[in-house]
Amino acid sequence: MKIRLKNIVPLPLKGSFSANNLWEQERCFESPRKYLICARSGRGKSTLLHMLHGSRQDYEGQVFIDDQELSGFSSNQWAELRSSRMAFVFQDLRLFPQLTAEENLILLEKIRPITDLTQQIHAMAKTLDIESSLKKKCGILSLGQQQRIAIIRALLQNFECLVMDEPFSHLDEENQLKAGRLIEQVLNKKNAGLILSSLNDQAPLSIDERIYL
Amino acid sequence: MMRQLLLSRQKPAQLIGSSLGAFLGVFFLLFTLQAYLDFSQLLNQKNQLIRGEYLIINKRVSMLSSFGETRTFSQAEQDELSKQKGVVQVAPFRSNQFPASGSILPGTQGSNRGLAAELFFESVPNAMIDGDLEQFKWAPGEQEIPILIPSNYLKLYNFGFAPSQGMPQVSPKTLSQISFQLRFDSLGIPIYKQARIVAYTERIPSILVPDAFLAYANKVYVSSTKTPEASRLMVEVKDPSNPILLQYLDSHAYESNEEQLKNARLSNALKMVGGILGFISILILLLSFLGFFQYAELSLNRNAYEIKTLLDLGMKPSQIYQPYFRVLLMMMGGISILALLVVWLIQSWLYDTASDYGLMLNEGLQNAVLFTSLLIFALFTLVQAFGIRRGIRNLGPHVSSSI
Repeated sequence: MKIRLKNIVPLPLKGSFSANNLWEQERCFESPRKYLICARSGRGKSTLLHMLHGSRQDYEGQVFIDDQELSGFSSNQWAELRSSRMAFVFQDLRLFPQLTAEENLILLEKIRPITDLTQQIHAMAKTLDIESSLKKKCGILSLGQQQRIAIIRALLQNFECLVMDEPFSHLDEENQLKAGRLIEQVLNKKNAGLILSSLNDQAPLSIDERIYL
Repeated sequence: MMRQLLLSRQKPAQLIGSSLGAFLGVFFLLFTLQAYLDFSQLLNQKNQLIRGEYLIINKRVSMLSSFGETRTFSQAEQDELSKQKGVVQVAPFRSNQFPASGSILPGTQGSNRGLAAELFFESVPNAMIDGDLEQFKWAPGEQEIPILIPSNYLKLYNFGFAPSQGMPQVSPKTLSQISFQLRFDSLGIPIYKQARIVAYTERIPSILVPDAFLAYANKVYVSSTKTPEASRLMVEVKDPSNPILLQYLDSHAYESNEEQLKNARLSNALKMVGGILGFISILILLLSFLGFFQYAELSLNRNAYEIKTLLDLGMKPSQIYQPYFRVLLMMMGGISILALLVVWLIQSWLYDTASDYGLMLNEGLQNAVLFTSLLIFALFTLVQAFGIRRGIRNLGPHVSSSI
């Protein structure tokens, strides 16, 4: 998968950013490379990820995925992109608090069939030390636990590129490393790329290219 | 799980409230329609023998007419009348131009001392008479002449004449089995024919024989070749209560059978009341559905987080739409069926009550009511389905405004 940004500038940032190597540039993200976008708050990290997800359209310029312009996507095309080509972990996690952690993950099968889903869920939950929380309602889990469930949900999906917005913010160092290892493992298996955003340039997994905003 | 997610924050009280509103809307409309159709059919039944909008007119009998003023309608007058707006066709009553008398004692020829009377007959084209005319026809050569009499004549005999004379009462059926002897004087020569009453009329206040017979008899039994002018006309009109037509009749001193007009006016009033009620019902229906639509929108908004999140995860809008559509289909189906059921129950009750008063209502639901309920179901399900679909698309995925 090749994501190409052409002279992108988010409208809220227009005229207020200094020269960098992302906005108003021609830039590509290619799978299976792993990118880390690091910046302080307010530099547009999340905005970029939301553009790729299609939930923000307030920008100038063009975004292409494999030479297809995103602005012309229909709702079904977006659904296809989100369910089988890109997986996302957002800062606000977007889990269903009224369902158990496991139900939140099983729900993926309603969107597209996944082989050995239950087995995969338990294996990943075990790796991230969260197996005991699977039967609990998401609403009562701690943010760190929820973050791990959200990471597992993204990893279970089909994707060519994984997009994560500060996914480790509530995890301790040990859990960050476990998550990093799991993510890297899945990425390798799927031969998929990664776009990760972070406040600093540290990441618990190997990164091919760092972009500073 | 999808249902649990997408219908998780619903309030049953609101659902019941908006369904009740929609039910009342559908029910009022269906009931108004059913009642309107039932009662207009009832009114039309009263005019069974003469179709809906027929008038019988004659010239008013005044002092002058006794002194030679003509009381018949000339051809020119008939033509003028038929050209009036709202008049469909005009047909003259034909009457016998030869002396006629009848007796009810079979086997005796000529005058008898039992029950004999001078008679007159009239006829109108069969097309102008509605009802059971199967036996009411005649062709030259047939000995028996079928007769149609006003049912009032029989009542007059049964309840007036017979008791006072110590004679038995007869039923319409008995009477129709009795053969009458008719005697016509054709240029002084008596001609005898058999006759039988085959049907009764509520509306034409005259003794009717088939038009074919009078046409034949007036030609054969009478020496004069002049066609007599009619003293009464049957007029088919589109709307007998049309004020312009009524004015025309008045200005020419034409009289019409008032009851016919009363019925027409009643039917007009029913139409008006039906129209107003129908309009109000449609208004109620639209308002109740507006409430229903808003409830649906509210439902979507209550579960906006779930819908947005599922869209975030890549679920297609059409898939999210399904649980809502199923609920909608069930509710609309339930509302339509329940409304039909209640209309049916009330109609059955009305049917029983009305038949106690001797009024025969149509039994069961009218087809138009069934059709309308289907139409409402289809139309509103469709509109609502589009609304839900659009609502889901409009919700879209989460939009974050943070940078």
